[in-house]
Amino acid sequence: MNRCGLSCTWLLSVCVCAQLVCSQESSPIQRPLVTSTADHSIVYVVGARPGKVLQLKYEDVQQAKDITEELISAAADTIATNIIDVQVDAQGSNLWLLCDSPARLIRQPLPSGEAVVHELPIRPARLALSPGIDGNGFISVTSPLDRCFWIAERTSEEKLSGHVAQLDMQPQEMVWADKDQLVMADATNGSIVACYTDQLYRALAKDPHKGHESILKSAKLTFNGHHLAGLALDAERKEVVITHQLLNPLARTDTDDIRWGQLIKNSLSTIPIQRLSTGQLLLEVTRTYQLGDFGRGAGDPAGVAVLGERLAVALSGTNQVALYSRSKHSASFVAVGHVPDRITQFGTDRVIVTHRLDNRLAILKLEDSSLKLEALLGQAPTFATAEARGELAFFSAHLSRDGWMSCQSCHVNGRSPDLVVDTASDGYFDTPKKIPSLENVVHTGPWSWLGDKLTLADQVNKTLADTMHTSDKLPESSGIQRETLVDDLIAYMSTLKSAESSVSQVSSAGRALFDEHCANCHKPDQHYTSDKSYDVGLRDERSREQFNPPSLNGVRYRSHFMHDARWSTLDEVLSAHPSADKKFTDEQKVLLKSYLNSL
Amino acid sequence: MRFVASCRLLISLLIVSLPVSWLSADDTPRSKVDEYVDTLVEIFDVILDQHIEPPTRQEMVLCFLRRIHNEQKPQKLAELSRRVSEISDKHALYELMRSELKSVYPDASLPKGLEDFNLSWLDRAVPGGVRVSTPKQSNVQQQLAANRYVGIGVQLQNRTFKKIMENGPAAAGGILEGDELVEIDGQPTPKAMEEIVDRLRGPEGSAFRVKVQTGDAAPREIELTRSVVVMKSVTLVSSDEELGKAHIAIDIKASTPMELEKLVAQLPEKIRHLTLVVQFDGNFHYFVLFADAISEKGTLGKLVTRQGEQEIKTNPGTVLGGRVVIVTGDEDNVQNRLLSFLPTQVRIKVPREVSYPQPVYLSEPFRIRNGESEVFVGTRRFEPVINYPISVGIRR
Repeated sequence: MNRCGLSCTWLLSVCVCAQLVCSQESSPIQRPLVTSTADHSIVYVVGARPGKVLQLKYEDVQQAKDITEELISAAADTIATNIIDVQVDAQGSNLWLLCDSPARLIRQPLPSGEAVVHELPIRPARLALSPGIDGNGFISVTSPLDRCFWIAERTSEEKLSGHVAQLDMQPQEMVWADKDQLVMADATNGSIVACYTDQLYRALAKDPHKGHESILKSAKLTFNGHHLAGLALDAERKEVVITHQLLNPLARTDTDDIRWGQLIKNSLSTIPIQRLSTGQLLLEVTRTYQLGDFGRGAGDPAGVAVLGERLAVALSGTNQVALYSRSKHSASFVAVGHVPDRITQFGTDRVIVTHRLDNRLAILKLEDSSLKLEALLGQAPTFATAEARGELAFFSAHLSRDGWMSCQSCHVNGRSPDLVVDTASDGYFDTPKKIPSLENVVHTGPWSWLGDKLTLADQVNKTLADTMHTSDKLPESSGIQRETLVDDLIAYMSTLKSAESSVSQVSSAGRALFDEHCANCHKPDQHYTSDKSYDVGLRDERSREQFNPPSLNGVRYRSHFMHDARWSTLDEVLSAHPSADKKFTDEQKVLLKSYLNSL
Repeated sequence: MRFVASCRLLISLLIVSLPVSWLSADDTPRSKVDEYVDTLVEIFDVILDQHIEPPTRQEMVLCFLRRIHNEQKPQKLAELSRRVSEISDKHALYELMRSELKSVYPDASLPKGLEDFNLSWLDRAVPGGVRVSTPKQSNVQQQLAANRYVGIGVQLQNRTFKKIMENGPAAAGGILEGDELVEIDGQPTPKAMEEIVDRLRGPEGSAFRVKVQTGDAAPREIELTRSVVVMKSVTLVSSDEELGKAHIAIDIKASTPMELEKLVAQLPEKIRHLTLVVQFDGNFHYFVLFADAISEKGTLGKLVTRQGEQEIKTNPGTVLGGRVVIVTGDEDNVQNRLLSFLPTQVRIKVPREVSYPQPVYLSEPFRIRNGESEVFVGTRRFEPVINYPISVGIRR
């Protein structure tokens, strides 16, 4: 199998390759991650070699036609493992490493020095340093799983005093618009928070439990789109660039609507930073650029970098990078590795691309799409297990007609953007239904809102055939095996578990209320769903009244409820759920909500 | 594909709703006449069920009887008219149709014009008329609406190529405007236009050979592969940079939002005012998507149906009869959505309400099986061209 693809022009064998391979047999290679210094002249690479920070210099790469091993040098040692994000501070004197399990933030002085470890109270995703971090500044870490972010003021070299701010969104990507303004995007839904951190931090320091909610509430903006997977600033810090998708509930999952970009759009939007704080509807000030075109979707735009009027966007679904010129309204596309998702500016005219499912670095020149330097750090991924193949397929837009979408486009990170889509999965068009979450999906049969798919394979086959229009023949470079596709996807889906709640104490009164009024259909021993369908007093456009209850695992992540996404808060659901046999008092609602948020 | 799926259901529902006793009353093999009347029954039911202003069943039966009897016999017609008006039972009416048809054509052969389901005789009863098309015609209409017409990209007049579309296979193969089509696949070009078109059309990816001739030059043989020929649905009619105005004509198809977005984004900086003139050939789905694309909440008008008025903001689904009152625009909604892809800020003027003096009727075609063959039936698509001027002023 030629999984690296024939297009890999230059492959690098790292000098310690043999050692690396040995150590990988016990622990799989971690994807390389990069960060660049403030002037973008040096990038640091972590994760590719355990215990090592590597570096690449722009001046060396500029004239290179190949990434030879001399170009990559060891910059420092590190104790960090399970690294999920990395940032170098403005002076280039410290590397900040965000690690998962255990959740830690590690400051690694460069080129050497003793690492300082900070335990984190949240399940982290991304790390960002405010521009002033060398003196007094902030460090922030987002947590989509805990629906919060951690913000710490750096008061001395060793000490960080951090606080957790809860949000009613799942923040993932973030950028500091200036040293006091932090912008965070919801990777699943369409929310943005743009908050002034100084004010927020003071409120949190005064009382970590209250006072900051109103600040965050007014900082939340509704963005027209979902799957906000990339966030960047332009060099002048005048506008923020967001990559996202737009799903149209009026369009159908037929070939024509897909091909003309009516069903789902792969987009790039810009918002002037000065308008972020006004709390106004973003629609008025947002400019949107489309990356997809007839016959060529640009599935799952993710990481983005802005270099003047040119932008580089990782298309994690199609395994490409789009090099977009805003003045020409056109893009050229460069093939890279499996699931490219992050892009970092390198030098004045290049970007460096890393991948979610590949150990590859790609260096691209924005003005010359033919110039690609590539380095494979360690082994090429083999996707030997069904689960690994399934993960690759889940993120691949090759499954869809012309590459407009992947599974991830709608079931973002296994959860749901809570939008409705007209897939005819229920047999008809013009009956759009809410996208289900895939948390614990293998245990929540029967599937679909009507509960008419008795096996998960039935549902997956239906979705592949009628929603995505998966071809019988997939390009070999995609690395996906068509013959085992359904089994592979199910193997991957069996790993999509609902995240444990951070709520430590479950109110027994809430649980009692739930057991009495809800558990008949949302059965706790069946992942809070049931194998039957029920009439809850609602009907769809075809007058169908029997729906299979959705699992309530992870209900705290949802922003809309019921088959048509008609309600947007649990309060509304508890007030209006047509099958509720009683009216709950306000006090009971509080108890029930706290119980639901623990599921 | 989608309408076939939805039509299958509708038709099957219709068939199910017919009384079983009536369908199986006759044990003898069904004659051509029986099959024909059965199909008409289905068509009448569709019209009664779906048309916004349906005629009575009697009116349609009378039209049919007028058609099979010579209209020149007023006495006979008056008598039939009286008989029909006395019958209220649906099955008795259809038995009358059957017996009259058999009495006029005892040998069970149908007269020409009935066989090919030309239903123009129903126009008198059905507002908007009834149109029948073959699966092939219907397929072409759908291809055009979705802007994925499969062919070689030419317009022919008899054997002469009148127009060669620049991105089509014919252009790529070197066929020139004015060339004569001499042979298709080694056979001389047929005389009848229909036959020529039939021979040139085919599935995507299929290849064939033609022999063409420029003037008196020697004919040359060209191999052509049929492919999707994308046509423009958004055209910049004129632009005047001095006045800062541009005029864009839109014929709503599946591709329209994407095309409009591209065209508007590339307008010269000096353009400050756009006029969009919109035509709409009756495909509601694409109308709704267009409305949604340029207006935040997707409301561009009202659909008047038997159920009453409704805003065009969701897919009307299976509503097949309808009168459209175009267009009550909400300026702010249109403006906000257009802003997201216009090169700069704009101010839009949308007429508060533009209603059309003539009601217009539409229906997506139904598929009806008639023995081995199948036909598509629908009321006439929008005949009047809807000109919907959206005036867009650009603030700079």
